[in-house]
Amino acid sequence: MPQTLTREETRLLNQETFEKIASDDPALHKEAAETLNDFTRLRVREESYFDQILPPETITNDQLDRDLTEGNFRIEEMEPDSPGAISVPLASTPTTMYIRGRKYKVQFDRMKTRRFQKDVSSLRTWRMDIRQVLSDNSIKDLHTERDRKWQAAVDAVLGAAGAVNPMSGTAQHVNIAGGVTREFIAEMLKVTQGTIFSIPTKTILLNNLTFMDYFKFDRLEYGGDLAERVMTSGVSVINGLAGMNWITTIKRTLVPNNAHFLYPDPSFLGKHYQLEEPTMSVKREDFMLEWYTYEESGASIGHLGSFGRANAT
Amino acid sequence: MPRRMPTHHTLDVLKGLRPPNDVDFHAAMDPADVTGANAIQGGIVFAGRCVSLNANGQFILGVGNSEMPMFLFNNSDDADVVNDGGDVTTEPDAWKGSSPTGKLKAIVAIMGAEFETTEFKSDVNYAINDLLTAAKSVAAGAGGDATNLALAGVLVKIPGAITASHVVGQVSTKFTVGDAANKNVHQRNVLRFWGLHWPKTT
Repeated sequence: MPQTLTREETRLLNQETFEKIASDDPALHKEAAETLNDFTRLRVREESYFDQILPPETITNDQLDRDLTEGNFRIEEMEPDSPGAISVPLASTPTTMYIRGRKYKVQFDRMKTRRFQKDVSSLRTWRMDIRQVLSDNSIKDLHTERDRKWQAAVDAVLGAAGAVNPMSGTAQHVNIAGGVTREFIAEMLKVTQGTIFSIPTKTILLNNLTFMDYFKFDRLEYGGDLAERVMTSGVSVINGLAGMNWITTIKRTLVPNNAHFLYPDPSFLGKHYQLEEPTMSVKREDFMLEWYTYEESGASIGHLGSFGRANAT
Repeated sequence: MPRRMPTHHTLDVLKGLRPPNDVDFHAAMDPADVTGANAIQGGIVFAGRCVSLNANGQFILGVGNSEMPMFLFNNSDDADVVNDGGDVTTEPDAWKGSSPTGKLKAIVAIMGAEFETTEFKSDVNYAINDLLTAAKSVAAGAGGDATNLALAGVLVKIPGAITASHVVGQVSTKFTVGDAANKNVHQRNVLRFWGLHWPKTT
């Protein structure tokens, strides 16, 4: 959770941060940048829904694979499938299967924000946390881009409602009529468990407006006092409903109304690596301050049959 | 597919702004420009080629009458451009990367720089101050001049009057066929030029 500072603590922090930025000493600029880095990294992690669905793992240079190109990538292996055992009469010979495993590739690219500028002097009297002033835009830009890229990949795999997934042989993006009801929840959870892989959903992603529809359940539908708690405290108390982890987002351009994205345990889904943590570059030239943030990460969906989408229509 | 190294097709900025301050532009290639009838080298667009933007904001090879010329820094199959996991709508063992995003980097011709490229017609001589152009692929619009698909986006000398071509560069160092002095450290023929943008007017 971000620090909650008193007004006086904010004033002192601002003064200290401002003095470092306004100084002629490059070492103090670096200190200011490192403070901003810590602040930025924490906020990006918390506000990206992709990071909650498939948490990033830090990866180092020695874990990268190599080929003749200069790109950064890592090869991941999938568990080999097997056709199963059969019953045979005595003296029968088993069928041979040469084991081959599938692999997939995680490739990396760099994300960067816009380069922001400000006259140092105009920061003198800011009362709000200067760290927030300098990093808020970067944070928003980075986690939005993380989520946008992930959502584009998910939407490409799922296709339109009813499209047959080539890996599972069934539709993993479905429309379920009747709106948000107990029946909808049951049918929704069958989407991924009903495939040949039978992978249970662990996390559900929906937007904040769709989440409001769960406010409409009555006592009978909630099955007890949860209905009262929802009425008094809001829908936030239903996290854990049906044993799921519910993630809500305000990014409705990425997660449309009525859509529920169904994700398994991350080990079934793919890999997400962080090669370079979000890093803020701060440069001061005379009275002008400029800064931008960059990071390098990569993610791939390895198991196309592990996730799904249900729309409450 | 023949083995290809990162040194085979390149663009270098010999003089001028460097990252992160160069005047670059990021966009995806127009798929129609690299597949089907316009297939270039097996669907791959090489670094060093001249590109411009179509009406959808995608790169296309070469220039027409007046589009801003740019020079590609990436190959279209570089690891930081594309992660080709196959067709997720038809292949059961495909994968889907959320990165990279298919965008290439190109440097704007009028940034104010001296460039060096491997992507030029290297079987002719170039004198200092020769003017250069780069044609679109044949089917990429009515303004295409290329008669040979392999030359789309490749720098060539302007064929006639300056006003009858869209000039994208001017040679800074002479190039003589077979002269070892025209090779870079990787023993590849390179052409050195300053970027320009003089639209065609006749």
